[in-house]
Amino acid sequence: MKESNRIINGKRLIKHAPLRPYRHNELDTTVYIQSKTPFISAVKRIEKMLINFENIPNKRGNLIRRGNIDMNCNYITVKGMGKAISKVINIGMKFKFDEKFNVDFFTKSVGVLDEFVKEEEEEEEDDDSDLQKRNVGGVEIRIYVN
Amino acid sequence: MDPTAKKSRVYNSRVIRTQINDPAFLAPSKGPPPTAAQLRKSLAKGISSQQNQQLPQQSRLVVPELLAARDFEVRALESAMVSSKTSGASRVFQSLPRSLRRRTASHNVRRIPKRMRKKALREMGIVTKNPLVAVVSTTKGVGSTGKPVNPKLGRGRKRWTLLRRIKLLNYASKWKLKGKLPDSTWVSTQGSGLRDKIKALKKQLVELNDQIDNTSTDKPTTISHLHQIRYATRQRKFKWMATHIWHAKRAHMCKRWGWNIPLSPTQKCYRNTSRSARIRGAVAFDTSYYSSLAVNCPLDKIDELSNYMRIITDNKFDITKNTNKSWSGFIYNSTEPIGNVLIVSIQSQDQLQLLLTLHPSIYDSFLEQIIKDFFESTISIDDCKYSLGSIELTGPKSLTALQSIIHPCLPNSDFMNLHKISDLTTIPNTVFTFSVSDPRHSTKPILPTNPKLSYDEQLDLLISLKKQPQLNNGLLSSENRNESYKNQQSLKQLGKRKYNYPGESIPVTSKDPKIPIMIIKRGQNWIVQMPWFWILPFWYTLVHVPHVQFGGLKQYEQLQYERKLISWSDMVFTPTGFVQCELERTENQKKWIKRPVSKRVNYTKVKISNGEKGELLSPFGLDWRGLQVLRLVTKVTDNKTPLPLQTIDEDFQIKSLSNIQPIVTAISSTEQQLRDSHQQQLILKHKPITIIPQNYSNPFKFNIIDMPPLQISPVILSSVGMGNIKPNARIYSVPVGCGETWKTISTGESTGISGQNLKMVTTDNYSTQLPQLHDLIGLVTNGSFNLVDGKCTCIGYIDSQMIANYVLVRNIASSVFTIMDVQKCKYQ
Repeated sequence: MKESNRIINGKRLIKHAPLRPYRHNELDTTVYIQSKTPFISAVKRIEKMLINFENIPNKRGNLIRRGNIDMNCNYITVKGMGKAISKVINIGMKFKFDEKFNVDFFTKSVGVLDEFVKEEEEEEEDDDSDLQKRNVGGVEIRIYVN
Repeated sequence: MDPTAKKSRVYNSRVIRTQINDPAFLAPSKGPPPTAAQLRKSLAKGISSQQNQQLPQQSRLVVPELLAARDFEVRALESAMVSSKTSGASRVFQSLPRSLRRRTASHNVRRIPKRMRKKALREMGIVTKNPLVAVVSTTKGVGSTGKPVNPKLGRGRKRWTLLRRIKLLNYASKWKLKGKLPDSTWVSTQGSGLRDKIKALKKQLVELNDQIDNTSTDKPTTISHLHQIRYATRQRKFKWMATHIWHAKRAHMCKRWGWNIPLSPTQKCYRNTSRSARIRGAVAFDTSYYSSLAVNCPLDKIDELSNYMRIITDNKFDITKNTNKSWSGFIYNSTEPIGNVLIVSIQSQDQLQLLLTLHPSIYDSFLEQIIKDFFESTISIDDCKYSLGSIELTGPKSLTALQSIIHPCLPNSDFMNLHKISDLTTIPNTVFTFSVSDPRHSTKPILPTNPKLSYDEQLDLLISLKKQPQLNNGLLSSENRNESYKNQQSLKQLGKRKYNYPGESIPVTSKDPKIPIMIIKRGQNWIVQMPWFWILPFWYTLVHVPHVQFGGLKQYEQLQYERKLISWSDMVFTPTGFVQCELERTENQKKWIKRPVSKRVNYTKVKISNGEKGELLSPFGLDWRGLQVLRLVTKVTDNKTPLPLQTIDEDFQIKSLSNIQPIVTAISSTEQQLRDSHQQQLILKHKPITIIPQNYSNPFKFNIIDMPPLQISPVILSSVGMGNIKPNARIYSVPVGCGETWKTISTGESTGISGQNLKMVTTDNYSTQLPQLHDLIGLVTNGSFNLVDGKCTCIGYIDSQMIANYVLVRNIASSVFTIMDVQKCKYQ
């Protein structure tokens, strides 16, 4: 039997993702990298996204882009934090030097919530758990199409 | 690959072909200069006369001139090719978004939006643009303008019957009016004329269609209809939800538990639902069929209620701990769980109120029980089955979608401050109660305005949600719900008001209703509880939020499965769940028997392993009784437990594992005998299985009635490599001594002769390592390809003594074993 989360001082730690508002436009231009995301998968996902940046004529002959990509948007954002920072930077380096794209790097820090749940009382998870704030370092890269 | 490669290839081929036929590329003509007739001919082909005259003399290609002359032609050709490629290829209804399309009956013009009807008629060859060309034919009840045609009065005999019927109807209605009104109250015939009676009749009809809160205290609600009165006869046995008509047009419906429930959308949506719930958009469910009841308890009776709640929840729900909070778990009948419940407790100044929401399969019996238990107490029970409805939402956009249709009467509510958060697990389980205004006031869903909280403040808000907030009990009182219906505007009335404010939302006045609602965050779902007759306006607005799609019962279960939670159909350990298992099994068996012998799988002759033939347990559904007996016999032969089998003949000795097969066959034939003699009740009453308590203490116990129930644990299995497991697959333990082999196979260390992966092993290769019949430890209730994990996972139950890290799983009538990883499954 597997136990997925770490136990600290008799309490199980559940890590929560940072808050982000839902924006439908972001879905086809932003990639979030986890530490468990395979490097090549991330690269391939970005490459597929880049294809969608091409302008193609629609039925009426006007130029459009596939998916939700705005015609003014000219970069793909890749984000990662904590353990994934090095992976994100590696992705940036690959696109900068191997594929000759213009790439920008930004650093940032992100607030996240940690939840501690008492190990014995798993059923009553909501009652006896504390939330704590924590700051994590993060990195964002932008891969420019033009 | 370049996505436009195909298109550009087509372009190029056409250009080359035109060049070949072009006289500019041809050899100079040797004959006399062209005559006037020849020139005319070439002009008709679209070639400029000037070039033709020059060509024979120059006999040379002037590239810039040629290009300049052909520039326009080439451009026209290119654009024509782009437009002609798509012009004939799609019909007008195909230009609608996929969710609005109705492929079936697409010949029916009335199913296409009005603005597109003319084009659709043209495409069908019924109307042409040219007025001189006669109309070929007509289509279903639609004129040449696309408007519905009034049905013609028939001719001859048909006409005569119609006229006669009208006369008869007139006569009958007059006769009826003499005596009584539709609610069978007699009115005196004296002193009132026909006109007055018609007036009274009309008034009564309006009243019957009126929306009144259908709550009854301390007794189950009985009502004739929930929808408009004209649909009353259709919902005698199975009631309609508020959104029934909307759903019936877009989903397959099913009749269960006294409700008409949407089963799944008519559109294919397996992948779409999974993605909407995880990555983009949201999925909405109308869950009004989950019925609720309210318990009103005076403050001095809290102890009594607290004790009662402890008993029915097996000491898990504590009122003092859970005040102003939501709690979800199981309801128990002594120690046996009977079904899921969601409890919200609200304490106000004079009383404590509990809102219990239950699955419809157990609601009626539970309501009866709780009313009986509090019959002499001052604690009162309100049956809100037909007075409270709920909408459930999930997916990253769910919060945004809710915030864009909910407009609180008072600003600055905590709910609106959770601005557009897309991650569903970060927000703790909480309850919000407030009043909102009619969502139809705005012309379209309004995106929530940013509350301008800093990131840190937002985190603090989430932490503060953990504390017990003050809740408003407005939704739980019948008067408040009635109050909210009082000035409910019809679409016509709203339309009139909207006329004064073109393009903007209608301002809310003090006369407009304030609707009490309750928003519950449970797990990854948002549940919105509201008065019954407000469900429909909210639903209509909700489904107009972009990227929100709806789901039915199947989608609800699919999402539970993908989140590794057990859903209702997996709860085989509850009495209703077990009955469902048995029903499905007999139905499948009936279907199988109806098929011709040559067309059905002969389950008794299927090769399984080691020369073993035939499925032992029922191949048609989950055969828990067979499994129970099988496990019991295995344990007895292992000398682990004493022999509790009084039901088997005493002279029948269980000596070795080879006895298993006849015993299991015997139990299934005994079951069949009971069924044949119409004693199914006996089978259903004594469940062969019980769920093990969550803490795993006291792992094996007997409470013998006929047979000791087998203690089972829910597990989640995920395949290590390939393999697709279907429901009702068999779970085997890895045979003793063969663990090492299977481990190397699961890690991919050992491969076949040709180097292929050996994670799925057939009988021929590993005949000695395969599990035997006595290794069978459980059954799979739900399994398929999991889009979240990208591999096959399933939910099943195994003998709780036999939990291991790996198990082998085999589909019915198959000889392939798949090794799968075991994970503990929480069922509460």
